[in-house]
Amino acid sequence: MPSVSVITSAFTRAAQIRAASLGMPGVRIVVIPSPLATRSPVEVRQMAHRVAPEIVGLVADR
Amino acid sequence: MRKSALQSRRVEVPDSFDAIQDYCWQQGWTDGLPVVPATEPLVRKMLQAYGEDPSLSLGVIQPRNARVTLEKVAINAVMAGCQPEHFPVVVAAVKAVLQDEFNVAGVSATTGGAAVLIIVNGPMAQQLGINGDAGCFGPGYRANAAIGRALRLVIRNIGGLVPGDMDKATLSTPARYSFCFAENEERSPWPPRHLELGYDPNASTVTVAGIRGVYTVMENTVPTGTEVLHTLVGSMTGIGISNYYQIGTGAQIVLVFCPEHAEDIFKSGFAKADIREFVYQNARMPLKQIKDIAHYGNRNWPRWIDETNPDTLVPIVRSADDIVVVVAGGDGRHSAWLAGWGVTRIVTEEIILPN
Repeated sequence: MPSVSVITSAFTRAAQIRAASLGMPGVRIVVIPSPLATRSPVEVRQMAHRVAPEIVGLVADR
Repeated sequence: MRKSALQSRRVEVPDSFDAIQDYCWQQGWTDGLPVVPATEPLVRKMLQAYGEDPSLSLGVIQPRNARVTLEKVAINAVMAGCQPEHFPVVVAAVKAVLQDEFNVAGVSATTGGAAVLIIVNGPMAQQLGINGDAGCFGPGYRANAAIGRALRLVIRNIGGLVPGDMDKATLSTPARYSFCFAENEERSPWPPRHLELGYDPNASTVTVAGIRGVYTVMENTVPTGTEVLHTLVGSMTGIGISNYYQIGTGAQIVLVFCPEHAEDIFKSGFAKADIREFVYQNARMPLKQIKDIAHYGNRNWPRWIDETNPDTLVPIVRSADDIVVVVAGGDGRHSAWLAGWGVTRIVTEEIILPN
């Protein structure tokens, strides 16, 4: 099943290392700005809308 | 143990202290302090203390998804400065952190910077000189320092939890160099932890806990154990304590009573179970004080927390069973509570001695 991991920028390198460890160096990752925890639900929703096209694009491009 | 071939890669470096330490540092194998060179004779000596095949797998460690063999653990134990007789304790601790519920990758990758604490119970603690008396959280005892460091090096070197890469701790903690102590069973008025859990009195165990921080509690004024507990609970209720927001994921805490406080609390009629219940009932904060502040945005609460009532009292843990009680330390009236990280469970494992 095609999938995309969404992570915050603080964990970019960690995600790349983890993906490589699991034998999936080319795994599709979408990076959103860190931090996420301090954002309001409205801001999180706006952020989701902003990255949605990228996520859809990566899922469609299997 | 039969003399099985060791599988690890051999490297040759100039035979000088500086060259060896520089090489280990450049490879990213150290915590910043010098390490003991893991030569084949030293690794074999360590393995002989366990008596099993070096290729024996203890499990798979995340996030590197790497198989943890006895040989790899022995190498890190040598590097950490362990003596061969420490090795069964290190192996038990590694087995414990590899349990799924411990979530070693989460504990060691979090921005929260949690450390892995090892508590040793049973006769082996004394036999190996694992300090549970004065100064047991700190430096000065070979077994405490080396065993705790060995586990840390396993997590770093096999698990791949290297600061700045997979380990994303904002501040981290000095407890990540090493954090290992024994329960002071001799000066405890209560049964030690391994007996509480149903182990044989002759058995020895390690308990591992992912600990976010150490909150010390000084109380040398009040005359009864009940009042000591009230002081303790007072130190557990404050703005910014993240445990209040993480009870839904089962965050636990460890209470470490110094012998003098333990004696007073015992004389006030408390068993360990009574202490757990007391703390569970009293270490609570009203919703109105912890709403819209601190970790509230990431709260994870069970349904029975009534969020419509500002006076709802939120407990520091999900149940009394999420509190571990041990006695440790020397003379003086300083106890501590150790805040568990949010997504980990405390695990106990028996220390298996070689045949």
